[in-house]
Amino acid sequence: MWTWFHKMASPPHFYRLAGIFGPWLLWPSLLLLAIGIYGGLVLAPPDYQQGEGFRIMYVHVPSAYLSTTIYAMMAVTSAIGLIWRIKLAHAVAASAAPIGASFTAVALVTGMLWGKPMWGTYWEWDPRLTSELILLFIYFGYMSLRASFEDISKADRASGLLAVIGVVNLPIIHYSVIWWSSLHQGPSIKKLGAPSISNDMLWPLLLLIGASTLFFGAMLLYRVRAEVLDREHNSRWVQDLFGETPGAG
Amino acid sequence: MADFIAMGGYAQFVWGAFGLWFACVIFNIVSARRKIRISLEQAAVAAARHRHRQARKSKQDKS
Repeated sequence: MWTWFHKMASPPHFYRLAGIFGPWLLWPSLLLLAIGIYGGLVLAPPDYQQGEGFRIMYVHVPSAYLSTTIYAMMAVTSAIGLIWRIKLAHAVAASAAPIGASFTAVALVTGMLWGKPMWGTYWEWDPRLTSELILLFIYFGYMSLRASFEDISKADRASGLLAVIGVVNLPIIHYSVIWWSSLHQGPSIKKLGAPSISNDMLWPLLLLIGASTLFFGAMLLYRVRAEVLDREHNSRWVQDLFGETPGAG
Repeated sequence: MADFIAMGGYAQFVWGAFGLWFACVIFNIVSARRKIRISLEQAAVAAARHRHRQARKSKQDKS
């Protein structure tokens, strides 16, 4: 188990695997996203209250789901990196940040586009909206903190700490619609108990959430690969990748 | 078809949201590919520089 773990965390091994699995994850995820979008835009029936406007859900919910899931993953990998000093874990966290930030922005703006026709306003300083905006700022803070260090191991430590501390925002986002009275509706899908929407509306949503996760996985592998190369410039295995080292042996 | 585009009067909101989401997916793919391309180029440059240094060093050692 531990030897397997160490092999997985070794940069050359991970680099090779990521190169193989990245594209293999990307194309199926795009296909599934396309099916989900078709299902959401065309096949799902209009909502009895919101008409066609509810279809925004199919891009809003998966993006919001990614925004918090990616952050949770970043916090966990940062903690692993800080505690066991595994550089690959920091590389994973750093690579996830721009992807998470992009989907957080999409969740916010699609939410605004949904809010305008349904609530009558693009923005309200509502607990759910505000805490999601704070999440976007934490992503930005994380990325600019990393960029401000020349030394990559200092950047890892400082930004890793920020990622771990920032995790307190996640339960606030999650429970904001329950703790405080909010414009934002409660969850439509619950882990326990029946979902509050019908099956022909539900399947494209679940498919899109799954496909988004695969898409994130693919993008993460691409980015971690680049991050590992940047960090391992001067190591033997990277030099061996680009032609033989003369005088070796 | 016109009905589909009109989205029951919510056209600008629905298409705006889907368009933005699509742009985000494309942006992620383009920027990830760009990042890996740049990293590969830089690693190749670093490896070439390293080889060059090694070659010079072995030449000096001989002379």
